Amino acid sequence: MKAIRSVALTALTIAAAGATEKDVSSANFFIPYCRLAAKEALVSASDAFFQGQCFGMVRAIRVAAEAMRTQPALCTDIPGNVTLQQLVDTVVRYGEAHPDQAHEGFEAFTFRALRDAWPCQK
Amino acid sequence: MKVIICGAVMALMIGRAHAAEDTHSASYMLPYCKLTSDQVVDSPSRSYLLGRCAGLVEGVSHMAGLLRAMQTVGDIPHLDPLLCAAVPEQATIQDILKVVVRFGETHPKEGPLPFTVLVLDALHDAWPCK
Repeated sequence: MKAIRSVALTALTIAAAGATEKDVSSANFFIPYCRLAAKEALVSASDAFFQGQCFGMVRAIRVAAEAMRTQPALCTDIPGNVTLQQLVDTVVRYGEAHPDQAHEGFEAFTFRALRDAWPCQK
Repeated sequence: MKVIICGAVMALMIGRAHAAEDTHSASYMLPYCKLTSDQVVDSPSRSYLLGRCAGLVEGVSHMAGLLRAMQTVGDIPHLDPLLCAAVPEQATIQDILKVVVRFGETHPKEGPLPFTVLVLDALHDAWPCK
């Protein structure tokens, strides 16, 4: 717990230096960390933390999407061989194509991006 | 020559052990969820895994909330009770993480299961739907 606060605080202090107030749960906040190459993310503990958070959330949304396949309102059809890196790349590309939606919470944004890329056949 | 062969065999064995390690399992992820600031501040790779733990917990918690909301408005008529968790709105990620870690410690049999399954079980156990 302490660790999360500490790392997040460090990162937030850096972000605050940018003089703009950011919503730290939004897609706008996370996408730059999702986009980092592993080598770049591992340069600092705060970048690594937020990249890990991005990959963790995308993974959780994938698992949830698979569990909800039987619900027509929530159905996505992600092939089993799609890697976590490919899912993250898809979310990043969706963010580039839909910057108007990037103020939304990262989880909901990710779910929409995955549904857009892999919709269920009707 | 014998030394080289022995070294190569050992390297293959270590490689295999790593390949066999399930990085999505609860037993793999839980230790990273417990890391302290001192343990991650100088280690970006550990910091990444702590972040990954937090992201997984947040993601599962968010989807549990979404499912519950959809059930409430009737979009999902028959939600499996095991998929339902009533995480209080005021619960922070730190609160939820604490619940998950405690559940993992008291349910070591879930170690081989995917971490996401353990998270959902922990949320369901702490905050069951009525």
